[in-house]
Amino acid sequence: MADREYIRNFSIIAHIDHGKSTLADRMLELTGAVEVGRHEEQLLDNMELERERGITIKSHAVKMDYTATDGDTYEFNLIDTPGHVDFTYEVSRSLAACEGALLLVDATQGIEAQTISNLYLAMENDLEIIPVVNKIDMPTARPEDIAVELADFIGCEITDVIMVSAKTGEGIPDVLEAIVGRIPPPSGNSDSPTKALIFDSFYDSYRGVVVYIRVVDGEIAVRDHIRFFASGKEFEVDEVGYLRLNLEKTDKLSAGEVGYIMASIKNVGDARVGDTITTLDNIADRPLPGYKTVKPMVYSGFYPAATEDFENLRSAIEKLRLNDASLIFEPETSAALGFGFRCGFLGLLHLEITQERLFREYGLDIVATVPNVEYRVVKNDGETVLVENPANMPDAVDVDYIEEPFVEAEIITPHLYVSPIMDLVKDRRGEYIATEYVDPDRVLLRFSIPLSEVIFDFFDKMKTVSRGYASFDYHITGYRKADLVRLDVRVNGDIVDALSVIIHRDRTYDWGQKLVSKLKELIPRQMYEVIIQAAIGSRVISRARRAPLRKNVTAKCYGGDITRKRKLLERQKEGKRRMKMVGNVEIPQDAFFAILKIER
Amino acid sequence: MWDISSTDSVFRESEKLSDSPKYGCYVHVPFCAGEKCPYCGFYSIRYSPESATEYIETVLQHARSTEVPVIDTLYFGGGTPTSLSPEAISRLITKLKSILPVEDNSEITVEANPETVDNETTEALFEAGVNRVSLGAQSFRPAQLKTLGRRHDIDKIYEAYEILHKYPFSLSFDLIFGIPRQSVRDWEISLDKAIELGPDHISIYCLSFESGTPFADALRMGAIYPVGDDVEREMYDLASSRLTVADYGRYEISNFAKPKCESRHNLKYWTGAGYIAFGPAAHGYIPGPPNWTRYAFPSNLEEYTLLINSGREPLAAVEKLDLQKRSAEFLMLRLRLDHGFSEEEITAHLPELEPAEYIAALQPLIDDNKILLEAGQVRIAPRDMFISDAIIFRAVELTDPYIKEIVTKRKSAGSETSMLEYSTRFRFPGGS
Ligand SMILES: Nc1nc2c(ncn2[C@@H]2O[C@H](COP(=O)(O)OP(=O)(O)O)[C@@H](O)[C@H]2O)c(=O)[nH]1
Ligand code: SF4
Repeated sequence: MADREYIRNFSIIAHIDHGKSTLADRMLELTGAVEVGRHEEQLLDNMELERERGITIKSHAVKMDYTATDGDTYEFNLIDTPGHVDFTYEVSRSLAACEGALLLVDATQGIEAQTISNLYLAMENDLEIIPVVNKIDMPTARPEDIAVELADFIGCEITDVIMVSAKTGEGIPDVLEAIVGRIPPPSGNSDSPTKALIFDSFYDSYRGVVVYIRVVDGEIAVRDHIRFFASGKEFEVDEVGYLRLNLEKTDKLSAGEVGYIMASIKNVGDARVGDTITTLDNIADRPLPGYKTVKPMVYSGFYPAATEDFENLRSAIEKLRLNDASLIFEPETSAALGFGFRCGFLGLLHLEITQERLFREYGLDIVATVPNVEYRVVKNDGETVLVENPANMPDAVDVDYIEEPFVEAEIITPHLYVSPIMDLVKDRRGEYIATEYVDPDRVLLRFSIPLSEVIFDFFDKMKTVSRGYASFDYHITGYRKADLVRLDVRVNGDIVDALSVIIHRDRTYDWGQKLVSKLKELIPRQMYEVIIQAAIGSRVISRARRAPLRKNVTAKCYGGDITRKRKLLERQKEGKRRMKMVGNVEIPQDAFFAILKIER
Repeated sequence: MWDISSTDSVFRESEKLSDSPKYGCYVHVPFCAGEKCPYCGFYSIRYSPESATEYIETVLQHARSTEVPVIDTLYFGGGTPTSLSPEAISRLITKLKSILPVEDNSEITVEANPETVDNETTEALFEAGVNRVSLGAQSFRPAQLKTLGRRHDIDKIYEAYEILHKYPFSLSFDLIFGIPRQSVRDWEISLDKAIELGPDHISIYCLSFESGTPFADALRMGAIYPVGDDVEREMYDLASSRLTVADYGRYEISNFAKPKCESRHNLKYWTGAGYIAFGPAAHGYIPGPPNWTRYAFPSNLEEYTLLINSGREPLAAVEKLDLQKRSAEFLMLRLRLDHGFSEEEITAHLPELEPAEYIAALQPLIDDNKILLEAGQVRIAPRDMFISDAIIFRAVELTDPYIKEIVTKRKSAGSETSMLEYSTRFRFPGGS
C-alpha cells in the first residue's frame, strides 16, 4: 500500500480517435507496466465488440508504478471511461473516482462536443484538468491554435498545455510529471467510516461479481463484512486486489486506492455503478453523493426469430443481465411475433450491442421492433400511465394529453454547417436555445429536442450535412407535452402490433407512406390479395395493394420428381418459421428488420 | 432372386389387397441423339450403339433377377428411347414383356422426339406392342425451337406425325410455354397447330429453369429472362380454355386428354399406385401398408451397370414414408388432379386417419374457395390450378397439427414401429 500522498487517480477525456488508447499504451510502457514494443493495440479495451467498434463500453482501470524525477515512486490509477453518450452516467461515476483528468485533444481536429460534455462532468466533480495536445508529429497539426482553444476553454495558461505525440512518445514524460505535480493526492481518511465508490462491475462465471471500487474513506480488507447502500445487501469479502493488467491480490484497500473486491456476489444488480460500499465494523451513516438508478431511455420488443427459442432467449437475456445491470426486460406477447421481451436500454448503441451479443454469444437471431422512448400518457380521468410499448397506448378517446422525454443537445460545428444543422434540428422538432463560440472557426449550438428524434439516425444525418465535422452530445432534461398519435399498420384489416409506432402527428403521413411502400416491396405475393394500410385509429392515411400470386406451380411431377418435390415442401415448412402470420398474411421477418432501416 | 429394396414381404402383402390397382413399370432410357437440350434436367447421355447394347442387356438382367407384381402399364421414358436402333428398341420392349408379368391390355408408352421418328423405328414399336407414343414436339414456332436448342424443326414434327398417324397409336404431344422471348401469340399459334393435328393427348409444361442446366446459368448471368409470372399465367389460362373447347379435358395440372385418353401410367404417380422401375435414374414406389417405400437407382449408367453385373441391388436411395410424409405426398400429388380426392382415397392411402377430420383441417382453404369440397370430393378450384403449389403448401401446413396428433397417439399406443425411420442412402463399393 502506498501512502496517500503518492497516489494519483485520473482518467483521460478524449474524443474517439484522438489517441487515448495510444497514450495509455505509452504510459504503460514508460511505467514498466508492459514491455515496450509489445504491440497489442488498445490494451484497455477488452471486449471483442469494443475492439471492433472502437468504442469503450465498459470502464476499465489499470494501476501503474511511476518513479518520478523527484525520486519518489507514485501509484497511478488510470480509470478509463466509456466513450458513448448512452453511458454518460457511467462516465460521471468513473470521473468521480478520480482527482484529475487528462484532456486529450487531437492537434489536427480540435475539441469535440462529446469531449466538452465529459469535460463539464469532470469539472462538476472538481477534477484537476491537464490539457494535452496530441499528434503534434502530424504535418497538418495546429498545436498552437489548439492550445489556445484549450486554454480558453478551461481557463488556464497556454503554458499549462502539454504537447505530445503519443505515437512517437514525445512529451509523454511531461505528462507523467504533470500527473504527479498537478493532480492532488486523494483527500480521504483511512480512519473515517468506510466509503467506497463502485465505478464498474462485471460478472465472472467462476468468481461471481468482480466489483471495481475507489475507496474514498476507511479501508476494505479480506473477511470484512460489507454492505451496499442501494440494495442494502451484505456480503463477506473473499478477495481484494489491485487492477494491474491482470487482477493482483492484496490484503486490503485503503482510502484513496483503486482496486477490486470479490464477495461471492451473484448478481451485478447488487453492485450497481455509483453505489457506495461500507464495512459493518466501521459503518458509514450515508452513501457518497451522486448515485442514480439508471433508467432505460429506449425500449424495443425482442422476439426470437425461431419461436421455439423463447426460453433460450430468456436465459440468454438473464445471463447478459448478470453483467449489465442497466438492461431491463419483461415478457410480452405480440400477435404478430409471438412471445418475446420488452427490453429497456440506455440508448440505441446499448440496444445494438445487446442484440449483437445475443447473436454472437448465444446464437440467437432476434427480431427487434421499432425502438421507442417511454411516453407519459395523462388520461381524461387524471390517471398517468407510462407507455413503453406502442401497443399498450390507451384508446385515443381516453387520452387527455401525451408527454415525451426531451433532451438538451450540444452540437459543435464549423460555421459553414450551421445552417444545414439548424434545418436538420428544425426538421426533428428541435428548438434552438443558444450559440457559443468555441474558437474562431467553430460554434457550439444548444437545442432542446425530443429524445425520440435523436435516438434514431440523427447522428448519422448530422455527420452527413456537416461532412463529418460536427460533433454532438445530449442529456435528458425532462418530459414535455407533444402532439403524438399511434400509427398502426394493418394487413387485410388486421393490425400488425409489432409495427405500431407512436409518432408526432405531422410525421404520420410521411412515415405511413414509407412504411406501406416498404412493406409492399417486402411482403411476397400470396394466395390472396393483400391490402396494406397505415392508419391512425380507423382513419387510413396510406394504402397499398399487393396483387395475389399469379403463378406458383410445379409443371412436372412424375415418378422421379416426387421425392425431391416433397423434400422441397418440407424445407419450405422449415423456412416458413422465418415468416410471421398476421391473419392469413405471411410477413417475412426481413420486413421487420427493414422497417428499422427506413429513413425518417 | 432379388426383391426390391428388401421389401419382398411388402410386395406379397400388397398383392393380397384385392382391389388395389395394378403396378406400373417405368424404364429409363438414358440416351439422346445429340447435344443435350440446354434446359433439360433429366439424366441422359449421348447415344452410342455399344453403350446402348450394354444398357439393354443390363436392364434385362435387372428385370430377370427382380421379383415383380402384375403390371398393366409400361412406360419407356428418357432421354429419348427412340434414339435406339429399331432392333435395339424392339429387343428391349419384347424381352421385357416376356420377363415381366405384363397384362394383356396394358398401356405401353414410348417417348419419342420428332427427329428420331422414322418408318423402321415406328414399325418396330408397333410390332413390339407399343400402343401409345408421346411426341416431344415442344413448339410449332421456329424461334422457340431454336431457343430450346431442339434438334428438330417444324417440318420434322409434321413428318413424324404423318408416320405415327399411320398406326393405331394413342398419340400425345408435349408442348412447352414460358420460353424466353416467347409471346402469348407465339404460344397461341403453337397450341392451335397442335390442336389442328388432333392428338389424343396434350401435355403443356411451363418451362422451369432446372439448377445445373445451361439455362439456369444463363438466367443467373442475365443472358436470358423468363417471360414472367403474369405472362405465364396468361399462357396457361389461354391453353386451358383452348384445349377445353377442343374437347381436351384437363385431368392434371399439365395434362389434357380427349375423353378416355388419359395416360394410365402417369395417373399412377398422382393416385399413389405402385410402380416399379428399371434403368439408371429410375424411381419406383411400393405402397403399403405397412411400409410405403420409395426407391431410386443411381443416376449414372456405369454405376448402375456395375452394380447389376456384380450381382448387387443397384439402389441409390430407399425411403420408407412415415405418416407425415405420406400425407404430404398425398396432398401434393392428389391435388394436382382435377378431381382431387375422396374420403375413400384418404382411407386407402392414409389408413391411420379419420377422413372427415383430415378434410376438416382444410376448412380455411375451403372457406376461401381455394379448395372446393363437393359431394365428398376435395379438389383445388380449377381457376387456381396455376398457384397449386401455394395451396398445397398451405394444405400441408393446415393438416400438420392433426397428423402430429395422430402420430403422437399411435406412438403412445405403441403401434408406430419403424415408420419414422429416415431416408437411408445406400452406398455401394465400386460406384463412380
Ligand atoms: N500521427 C499520430 N497518430 C496518432 C497519435 N496518437 C494516436 N495516433 C493514431 O490515431 C488513431 C487513433 O488512436 P487511438 O489511440 O486508437 O484513439 P482512441 O480512439 O482515442 O483510443 C490511431 O491510428 C493511432 O495510431 C500521434 O501522436 N501521432
Ligand atoms: S431430348 Fe429430351 S431428354 Fe434428351 S436432352 Fe432434350 S429434353 Fe432432355
